[in-house]
Amino acid sequence: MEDIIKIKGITKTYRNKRALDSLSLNIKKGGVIGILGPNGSGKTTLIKILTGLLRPNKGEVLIDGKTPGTYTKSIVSYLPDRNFLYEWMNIEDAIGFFKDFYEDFDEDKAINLLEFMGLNKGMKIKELSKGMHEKLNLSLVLSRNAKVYILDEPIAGVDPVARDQILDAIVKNYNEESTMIITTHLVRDMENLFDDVAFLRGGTIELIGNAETLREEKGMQIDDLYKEIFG
Amino acid sequence: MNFKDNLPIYIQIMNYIKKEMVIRKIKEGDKLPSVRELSTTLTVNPNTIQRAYTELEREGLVFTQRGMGTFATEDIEKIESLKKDMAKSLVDNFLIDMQSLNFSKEEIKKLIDL
Amino acid sequence: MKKFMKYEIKGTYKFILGILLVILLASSVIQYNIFTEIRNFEYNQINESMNFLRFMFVLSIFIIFGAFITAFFYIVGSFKKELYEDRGYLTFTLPLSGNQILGSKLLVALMWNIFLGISTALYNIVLSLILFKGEVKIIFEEFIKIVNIGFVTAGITGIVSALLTLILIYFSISLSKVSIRNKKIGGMWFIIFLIISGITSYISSKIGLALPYYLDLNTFKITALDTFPGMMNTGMMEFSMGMGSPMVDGMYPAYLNIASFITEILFGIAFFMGTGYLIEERVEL
Repeated sequence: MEDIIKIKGITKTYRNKRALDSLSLNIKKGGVIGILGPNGSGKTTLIKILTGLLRPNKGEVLIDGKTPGTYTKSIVSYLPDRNFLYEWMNIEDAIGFFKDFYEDFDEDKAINLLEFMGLNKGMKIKELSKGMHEKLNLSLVLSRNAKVYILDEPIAGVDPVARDQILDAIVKNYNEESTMIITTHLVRDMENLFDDVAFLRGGTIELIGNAETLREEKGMQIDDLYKEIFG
Repeated sequence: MNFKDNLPIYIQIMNYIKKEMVIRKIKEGDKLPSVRELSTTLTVNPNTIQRAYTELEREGLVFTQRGMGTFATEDIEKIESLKKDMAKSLVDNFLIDMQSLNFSKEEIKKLIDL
Repeated sequence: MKKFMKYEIKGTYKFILGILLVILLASSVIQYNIFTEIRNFEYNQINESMNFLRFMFVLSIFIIFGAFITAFFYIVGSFKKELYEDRGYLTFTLPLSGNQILGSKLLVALMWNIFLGISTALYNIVLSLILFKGEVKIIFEEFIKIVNIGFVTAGITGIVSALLTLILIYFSISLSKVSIRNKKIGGMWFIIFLIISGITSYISSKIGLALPYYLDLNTFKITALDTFPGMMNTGMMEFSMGMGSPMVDGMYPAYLNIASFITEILFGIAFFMGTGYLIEERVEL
C-alpha cells in the first residue's frame, strides 16, 4: 500500500541537544502506528515536525506528497499533549471553531462523542480538569474525517475511568481509510490498538515492525519488549 | 479478557472464541459479534480482530456470509473434535509440567483420582 | 481569514468593552468637573467639595490614560500569547497561512483601536452637548473649524501610523521569539522595537528632508516647503499638524511629507511580509 507519510533522514537540534538524529520512517496509508519511547526520546519533536510546529534542520518530510504547510494542516488532525483550546471558549465555541476551520469536521459525531464522554456544551474551557480537557480535545480531534490523526500521549496523566473512555473512543471512531499515529510511554494500556510499533531512542528508530509479528518473534507482549529495550 | 500470554493478540482472541464454542456459549450457526463490536468490547485494533476471524475461517470453525456477518460453523463434529484437541493440549501441557516436577505416571494418576 | 477575525473578536470583546466602560466613566467624571467648575466660577462659590472634585478630575485623566495603555498592551499581548502559550498549538496548526493569521490579528487590533477612539470621542461630544447645552457654543464653533477635511485626513494618517506601529511591534515580537528561545528575557521585543523604529524613523526623515514635497491635507495640493512650522514627529510618521501656527483661510494647515510617508508605507509592507514569513517558516513552539 502507498505511504501517506515519508520521512527522509531528518535531524533536529536545539542549541547543542540533538532531539532527532537522521530519522527515516515511512508510514503506510491506513492503520494505527504506535511511536514508543521514554521521555526525551524525540517523540514529541517528531510529532511537532509532522504538524508543522517545528522544522527539521536536515532531511525531508512529505505528508500526502506535500511538505508540512497549509494543505497538510487541513488533512492532519492533531491532539497535542496540552490544552490547546483558547481559554475564553466554552465547549460550544470550540465545536463552532473546529466546524469553521476544518471542512472535514463532523458536528454530529462531535456531539455524540461529547455525550459519550459526559461533557456538555455549556462547560467552560478554563474550568475543566485535566481528564476533561483530554476527553474534550480528543472528541474534537476524532470528529474530523481526517486522512491522518496524530495523537500525542492521549492518556498521559488521566484517571483510569477517563483512560478507558479515551481508549474506547479511539477504537470506536477509528476508520480503516485513515492513518493514526499515537505516541505513548504507557505501552501496556495502549498496545492492543497498534498495527505497527516503532521504538524511538535517542532520536532514531531503534526497532520497527508489525505488532503481532513482533509478539510472535520475540515471544512477548510489546510492553515486555519495551521494558527489555528501555529497561 | 486480559492479554497476558506470550502469544500474539489474534491467537488469544481465536482461543477465546474457540473456548466459547466448545462450552456452547456460542452455539453452532450463531452469529458472531461484528469486527467493530468485538473491537470495541475488547479495545483491540479492528485489524487484529479481522485477522482472528480470517484464521478461524481458514480452520473451518466460522464462515462469512456476505453482507450478513460471521457465523459459527454448523458442523457439530468439528466442534467436538476441537473440544478433544483442546483437552488433549491441556493434558499434554499438564503432563509436561508434572514431569518437570519429577512426578511419575502412577503418582499423577493417584493425584487425579483424588 | 474572516473566520479567524470572528474568533479574535469573540475572544477579546469582553475585555475591550470593560476598558471602554472605564474610559466612559472617567470621561463623565471629567466633564462633570468642568461643568461644576464653570458654574462655581460663575456663581463665585467655592466650597470644600471642590477639592474632592478636582482630585477626581486628575484621577480620571490618569485612569483614561491607563485604560488606553492597558488596552494597547492587551492587544499586543494577544499576539505574544500565540507565540509563547499553549494556544499557539491550535492557531499554528490551523490550515491558515502566516499572512492570514497576522492580517487577521492586525485588523482586529486596529479595529479595536479605532472603536475605542471613536466611541470615546463621540461619547464626550454627546455628553458635553447635554451638559453645556448652548452655553459654550464658542467651543464647538472652534471645534468645527478643526473638523474639516484636513482633520479627517490627519485622522486617517493617524490610523495608518497606528497600523504601521502595530506591524513593527508584531515583527519585533516574532523576531525576539525566533532569535531567543529563552522565555525569561520577556521584554526583549520592546528593545528590538525601539531600535528598529529608531532606524526606520531616521531613514524616513532623512528621505523626507532630501525630498521636501508636502501634501497639503486641506487642499490636497503638493507644495515644496523649506521650513515646516509646528512640525510634529510621531515617531513612525512624519507629518505636520500646524496647531501652533496661524490659521489659513479659517483652517489650521496640515502637511504630509510625501516621500517619507511612502517610505513608511514601504517599511510597513516589508515588516508585514517579514512577520508573515517568520510565523510561517521560522517560529517554533
